[in-house]
Amino acid sequence: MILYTSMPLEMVLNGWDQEREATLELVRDGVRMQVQAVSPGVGRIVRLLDCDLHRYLDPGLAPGTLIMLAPMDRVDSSMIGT
Amino acid sequence: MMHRGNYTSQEQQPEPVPVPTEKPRNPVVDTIQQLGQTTVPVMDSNIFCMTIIGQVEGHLVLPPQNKTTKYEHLIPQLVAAEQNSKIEGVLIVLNTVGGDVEAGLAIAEMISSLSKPSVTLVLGGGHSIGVPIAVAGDMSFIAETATMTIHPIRLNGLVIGVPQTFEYLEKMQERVVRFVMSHSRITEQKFKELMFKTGELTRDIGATVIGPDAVTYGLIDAVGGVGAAIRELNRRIEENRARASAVIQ
Repeated sequence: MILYTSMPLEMVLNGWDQEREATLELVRDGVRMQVQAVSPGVGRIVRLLDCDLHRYLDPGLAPGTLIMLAPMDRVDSSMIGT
Repeated sequence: MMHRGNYTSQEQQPEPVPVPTEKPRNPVVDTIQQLGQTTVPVMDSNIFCMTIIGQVEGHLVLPPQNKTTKYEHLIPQLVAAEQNSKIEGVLIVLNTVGGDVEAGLAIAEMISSLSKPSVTLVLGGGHSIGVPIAVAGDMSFIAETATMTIHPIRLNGLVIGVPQTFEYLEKMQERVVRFVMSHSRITEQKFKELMFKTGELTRDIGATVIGPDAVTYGLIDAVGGVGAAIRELNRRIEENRARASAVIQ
């Protein structure tokens, strides 16, 4: 892994050793995604894990987008593959 | 009297009471009311616009103060754009400070191997690994004020100070140099001269190239903004269509 950037590395990697918030995995409209909870009921999409190819073009599913979380959206293995 | 057209019918009526159903409908409000969601119905465009901002994030998840563009999202997007018959051209807008070498080169290779016309536009900055991405399209534009920083790949991360490490870095650098050379008009000599220039950057060796200079060196094809980029993309799309219909005939 090599970073090739014009930004000072100490700035880029600052906070590197700090613990990150845990993410949860959920399936929404057939899109399996990794989501970071930002506040109760709201999550931020980290990345899409599994979905139809054309869904990647949906700006509403871009990483960083906030989505509403339903109470059932927990790390729930029974939902995987649905 | 900009809205004259809207009022003429009402002037003839004795009581100009606005009828609620004739109010201009707000599509956002409509979707909230009807579907319970705020997603605006997407207008079908034949151009897919991809923006690459901040750090190009690759194998390493960067700390949250970084604005990042995740390559695992861009790559399927490019595959989808290539495969989707409604999309006829791709516009790539860059304002990036660099990032992961492998991820950047992967994106650059994906863009350069698209069969659909692609135009890149550097706004603000296209630094470091942004350089190969900026030259990857069929035609590249740079804004008058935009800059590109060309500098050697530095040592970072867990490295051992042995000659092999430097050879490895040199190889990484060579991948970038080769890609830029084969996708732009710049010569290897000129690119390396810029890369190893001293006295220009305060903390590093290398050079900052501003809009028109990038064109003079042959790194970028033309100076221009979004208008020029879209015009060029549309021209290439038309050309593509003409070629396709010629084949059918």
